[in-house]
Amino acid sequence: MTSARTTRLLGYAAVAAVLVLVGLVPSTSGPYTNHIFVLAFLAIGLAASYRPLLVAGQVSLAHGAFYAVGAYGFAILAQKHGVSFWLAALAGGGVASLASVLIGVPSLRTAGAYFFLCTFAFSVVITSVFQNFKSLTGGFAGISGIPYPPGITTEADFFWVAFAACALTVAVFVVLDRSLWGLELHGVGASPELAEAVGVSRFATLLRAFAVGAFFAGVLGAFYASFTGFIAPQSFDLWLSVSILTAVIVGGVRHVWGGVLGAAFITLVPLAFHWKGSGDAIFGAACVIVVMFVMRRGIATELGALIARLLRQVPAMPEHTHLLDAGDDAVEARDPAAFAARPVVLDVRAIAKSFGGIRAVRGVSFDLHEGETLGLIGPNGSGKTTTFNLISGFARPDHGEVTLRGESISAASPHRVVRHGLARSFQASAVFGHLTVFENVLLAVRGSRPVNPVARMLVPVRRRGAHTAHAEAVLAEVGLLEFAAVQADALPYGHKKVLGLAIGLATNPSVLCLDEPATGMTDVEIAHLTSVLRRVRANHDVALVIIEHRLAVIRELCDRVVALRSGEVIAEGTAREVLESPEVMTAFLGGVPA
Amino acid sequence: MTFVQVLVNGVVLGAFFSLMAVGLTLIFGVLRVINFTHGVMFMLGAYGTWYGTELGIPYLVAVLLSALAVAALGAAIELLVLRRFRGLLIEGAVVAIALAVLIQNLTNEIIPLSPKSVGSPFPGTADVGGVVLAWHRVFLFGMACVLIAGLAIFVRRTRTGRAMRALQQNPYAAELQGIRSDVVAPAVFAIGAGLAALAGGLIAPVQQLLPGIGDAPLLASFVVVVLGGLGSIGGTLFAAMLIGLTQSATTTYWTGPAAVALSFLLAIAVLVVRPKGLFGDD
Repeated sequence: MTSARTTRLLGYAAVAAVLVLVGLVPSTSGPYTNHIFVLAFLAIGLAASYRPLLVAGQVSLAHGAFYAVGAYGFAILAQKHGVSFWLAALAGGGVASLASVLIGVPSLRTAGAYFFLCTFAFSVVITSVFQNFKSLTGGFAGISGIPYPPGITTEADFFWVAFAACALTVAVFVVLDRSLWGLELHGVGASPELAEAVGVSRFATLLRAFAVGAFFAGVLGAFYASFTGFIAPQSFDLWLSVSILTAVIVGGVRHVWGGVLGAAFITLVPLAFHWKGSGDAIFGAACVIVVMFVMRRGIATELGALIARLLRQVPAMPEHTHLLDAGDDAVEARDPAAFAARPVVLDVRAIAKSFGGIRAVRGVSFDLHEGETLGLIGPNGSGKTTTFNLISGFARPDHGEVTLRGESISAASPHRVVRHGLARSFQASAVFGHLTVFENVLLAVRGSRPVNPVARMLVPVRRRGAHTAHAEAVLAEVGLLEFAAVQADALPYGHKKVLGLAIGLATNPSVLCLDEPATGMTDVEIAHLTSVLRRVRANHDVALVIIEHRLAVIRELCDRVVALRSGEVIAEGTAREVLESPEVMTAFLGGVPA
Repeated sequence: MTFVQVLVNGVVLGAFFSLMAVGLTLIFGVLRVINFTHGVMFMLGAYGTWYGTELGIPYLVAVLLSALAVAALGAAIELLVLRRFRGLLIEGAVVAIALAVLIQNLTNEIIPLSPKSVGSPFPGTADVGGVVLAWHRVFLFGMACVLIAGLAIFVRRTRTGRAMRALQQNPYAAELQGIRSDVVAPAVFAIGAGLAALAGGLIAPVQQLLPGIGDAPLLASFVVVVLGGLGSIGGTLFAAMLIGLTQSATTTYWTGPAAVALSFLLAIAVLVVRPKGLFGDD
């Protein structure tokens, strides 16, 4: 039996055991336990629906507020206006989701603490609305007489309603986590810049996570209102959002079951002791501290790693640490002059960019023909990387224009540029650290072609044959296939740089910009890199722009070279012409040898 | 109520927020910890002062003693717990939340929940040209100015202060220069916690003491810190005044309950224009 099957069977067994245990609760225990379990189910649903946003690296303190908004929306419709239970519950979710879009659109555009504060402020402001908007919310007196779902009459019956709501929510978010969109969330969380660079819109991904999570929180809030029959401003405070956050962190953000386990742990622990007064809170808080001490990455993540170790399932790093040889390296028949006859794919016209008083790029122009390899050289600070940023959408030129196959991309954001067919790598070995090598490349594959948004969220990524095949092909091409299951962070330096190249390549670009692909590599690694690049351009019709200080690499690969100095082009021509021109020698060596 | 009165109330409130928020911004700036225990430190400072005066210790001595005790607690928390979560922002915040809940509930177990009050050494009110202010609030304002000025001088002029600023700007380079972050960190935490406790002790005579007393100042100082720009002391002072004046004006011209919500809305509106805060630069 393979260990993957063992894990799967263990998983099924665990789910079955939990179902049996849950099934025993209503028949064997009293109303107190029943009550706690209903609240625990709602908390588990809240944690599961909150997790995606945390996965994508954003902390919100509004999830409890969305729960409250859903509860109020539902209660107002169902109790005051006689709307049917299910319609009102869905409407509660809808209102919460709408609120999330209203705060998400202005606040998710900028990175940093702003979003966090906005969600925090929303929680405070919405409580004030509940208190003061008396005609709608009943003020401090709240709303009472909120109905049960049709056909449900006792608290014991409600146990199963809450369980179903919880199970459905958890199932939805497990499916989402395994979809392409789930992978994108992990990518945005690991590196927002790299995610943009492979065609994932950071903003759209985050907003969707926020809105979908808020919808489920709102619906769960409706069930809460129905269960207690009474809601008031004091039913929901800021600490609710804080405890949802705590549940997911204690459970483990990165594990798909993290939120579920964490919420179950936090809500059910008090049940075991049944203390009076502050006992529950003290014990709960102490448990959180102890768990975080012992398992810093959260319960589910650490337990998952432990089980994988016990089953010997940890993907071992291949024995030899050097890269696979990229195969026989047939000498290319390449005529640099022939490219001039092919159409221009990338046209850079007089682009300029200043940062404060520093004019980093002052009117740089060059063009790139289909299939051509262009070298971009120059001393440090000559504007090479800024030029890349201007081309790839990471910065906007003050003047000038960049056109890709006749279409202007000067004002496009990075994820749009890459969808147009221009990909880039980064100088620092940028990879999605906690994803596997395979997932790193898979994430980039999707960036290049549109997938129906619903399918993107629901179809498991493993089931996408075309995507996975493409990712495997790219890994084979660069010689990293053997490392597919290894976590990208664990790769040696040179391998990471090659992975960065593979990520760019996976977007199926017609122009691939490589920022210092060989810097810091050993000679053996450089030999591998150049042979990979030769193969890449033989197999695909891709034009390359390479920034590099290792001039041997430039000489070996480039059909044409552009030299920059102080943000201006000082020479252009074949590698030999440029490297021997007096201006370039002066720039690099400080003078022309006599 | 006159406009000048609103202004004076706002400035006093702002000074109080400053005293709370500088500690929070200092801890975040130097240690990158979102310190959710700041509210319970405030609460402990207030209750410690009450307990001291119950024992017959003079008010000012009680404030000082309870602040010192809370500062020691802050240092202990850094040494024993939060140190393990250096560099893990969210995990550290969650542990701080758990600590806050723990301390709050332990306090509830020990001290009866009934409201407490503390007598002020400066009773009565000052009346200058129609502007009325409790003498104790005048004292509170003066103390806040002295303490914040003292902190600013400490951070700028002393060796430890320079070490703190170095750690804030670049922890790696600072360590390479021989600055011991393992020694500076508990000191920073002690200063932050001590300032929160001083704020609690100083406000105790003009506010009824209830267990959840630290929540509102914690929330307000979060907003002040983000609005001012994370880690910037000058920005924090400016933002604290802005929030204080807004709340004072809202309470007077409109309604008390809306004051907090409105000042938060103001903070958001400002941040639309300056997402990094008024004085933030990183």
